[in-house]
Amino acid sequence: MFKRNDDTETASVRLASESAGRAPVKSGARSVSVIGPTLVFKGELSADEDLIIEGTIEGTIAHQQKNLTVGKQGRVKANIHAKSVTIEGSVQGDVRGDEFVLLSPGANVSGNLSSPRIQMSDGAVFNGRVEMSTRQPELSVAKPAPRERSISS
Amino acid sequence: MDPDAGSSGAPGLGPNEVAVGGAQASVQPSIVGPTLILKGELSVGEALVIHGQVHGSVIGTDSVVIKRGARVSGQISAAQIQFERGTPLDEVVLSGSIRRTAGD
Repeated sequence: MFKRNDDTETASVRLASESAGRAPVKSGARSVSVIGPTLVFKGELSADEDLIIEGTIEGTIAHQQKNLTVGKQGRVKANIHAKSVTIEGSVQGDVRGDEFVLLSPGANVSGNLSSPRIQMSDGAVFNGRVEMSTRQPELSVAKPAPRERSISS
Repeated sequence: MDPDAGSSGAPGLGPNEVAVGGAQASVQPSIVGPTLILKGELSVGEALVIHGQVHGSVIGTDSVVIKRGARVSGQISAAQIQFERGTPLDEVVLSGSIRRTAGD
């Protein structure tokens, strides 16, 4: 009766906690990568899955289609582009979120923000420019079907 | 603020033991998911599980687990390296305690 739609389920937070002890993390048609707190990476990073960064990333991040979270211990020196970006740690670089960018209380961001929706929590530190693009991402909003349409059998 | 969890990163486990699989809830392994591609230099203190691609150098003080679908090239150095049978390793140099497993 109530069919669960895994494609639209937002489960990144739940997956983040579940991912702590096991791998692979693929639940509810979602997979998530975790950059742990002791991991230091310099180079190019690309992904097509949700990503949680608790470590240190320096370089480039190409992560456009999914959700990216910079955790409290996360330190990123790179430009970020993702569907949604949640920052709890430190970011040096431009941040672009196709849907939203959220700066949590512990966030420290030096760079420009660009997204249709931007939220800065009390306690977040931000130095940069904000651009709230009015262009919405292309959504497949179905037009209402005419109700008088008859179905012939 | 960020206390060092120790060289092994896994309290109660030896330096060559793996804390992957949920036995140690406090130890969070890094997980390179199936679509994640890393090209560059990587160092890690906790366990690292690779399902995706890692190209470059990896230095781990704990364990590195290379899953069957992973693609790795370059050098991987860790206290313990596990790889599943069938994992292509012709482009990578492994150094450490190496063990092949049957996989899932």
